Amino acid sequence: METVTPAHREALADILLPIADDAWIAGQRGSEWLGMAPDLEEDLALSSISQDALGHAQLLYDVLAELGNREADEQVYARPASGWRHCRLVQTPRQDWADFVARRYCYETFDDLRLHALAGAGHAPLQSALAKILQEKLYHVRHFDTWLQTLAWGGTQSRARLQEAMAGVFSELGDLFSWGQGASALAMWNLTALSSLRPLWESRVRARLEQLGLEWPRVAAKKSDGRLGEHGPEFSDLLAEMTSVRAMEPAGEW
Amino acid sequence: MTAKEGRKEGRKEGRKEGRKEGRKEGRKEGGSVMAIEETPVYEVFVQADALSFPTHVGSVRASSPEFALQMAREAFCRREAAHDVWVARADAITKARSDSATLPRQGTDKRYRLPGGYDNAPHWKRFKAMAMTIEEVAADMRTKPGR
Repeated sequence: METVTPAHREALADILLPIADDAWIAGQRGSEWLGMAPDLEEDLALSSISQDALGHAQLLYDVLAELGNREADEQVYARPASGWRHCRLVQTPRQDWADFVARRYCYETFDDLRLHALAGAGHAPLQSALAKILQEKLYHVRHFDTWLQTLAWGGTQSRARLQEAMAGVFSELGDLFSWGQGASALAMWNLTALSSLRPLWESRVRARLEQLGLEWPRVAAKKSDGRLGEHGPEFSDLLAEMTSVRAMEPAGEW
Repeated sequence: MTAKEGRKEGRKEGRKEGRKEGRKEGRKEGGSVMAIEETPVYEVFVQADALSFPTHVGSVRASSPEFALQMAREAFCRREAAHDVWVARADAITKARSDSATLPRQGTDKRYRLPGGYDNAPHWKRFKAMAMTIEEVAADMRTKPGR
């Protein structure tokens, strides 16, 4: 492992925490579909993908722990709401299936670009975690892309509801592209490419929507920035639920 | 089935009132919404490694071959890697049971098709008696140099 200064350590935490938190919250929200997915097959597939996402978050928390940050368990169970860095896109509670497909398609596509761009960081433990994550990410991206296509071509009602859902999702995209405090940290890790992912994401998603005959909705300006810990009461509820079992016996061995 | 009931419950529970209404109407109109019973069944075959035969492991319902592969991956290959997975629409498979003329059945005596009719045991015994071990071959070569 190369020598990492305390400033580097802090910078990498600012960069990785939003990515890990996005994965964790996406996994948590995805798991809420258990028993609710359109069919039994998707129930299995989505549960598996949600477990994968939690696993990806854990890998990244482990990289951070190695750099002297708190352990994965502590990250999830002992962090106050304001310490979380995920975006609104992954946090919004379960609505309908079209919303979930549109939402996860947007998130997975962005996360895929972001993880590939992280390959420029060169930190060995991070690269080894990324290799594992990207292998599964390829499949996650594909899964939601297939669903997007299925709903887009699933008849007039299906298409209309997907289009409506996409517009709703686009109104929540604002802080997806934000780096909060991490913005200045990117240069320190040779990762300035990460700050210009938005046009890449837009061109990829725009091309796909065009292909499927869907309109490009308006992207709303961000109202609050999850990357700065602004998540609203919705997240307090989620965090309380996530930590409820652990809170029964905080010092216990699980 | 409880899982099915759970799913129905989930649909009723939709968070946005407007969307909930939309879904209910959609179900009634039918047309664009594919009922689970109408979704094609795909039979799934998993090939554990390059030298094994793909083995039938079960079936999934899916709206496309691509989806069938994705669902099969999750339903049957969650714990172990596979060399390959095949999916085939169940209605594309022609079965002998549907055409009884082609169904292999035990009819007249076919014992003559089995290899049991030849008594090779004495030949085999004689051959084994003649056969040498590798050490014997080596010893034989040492006693006859230059050959």
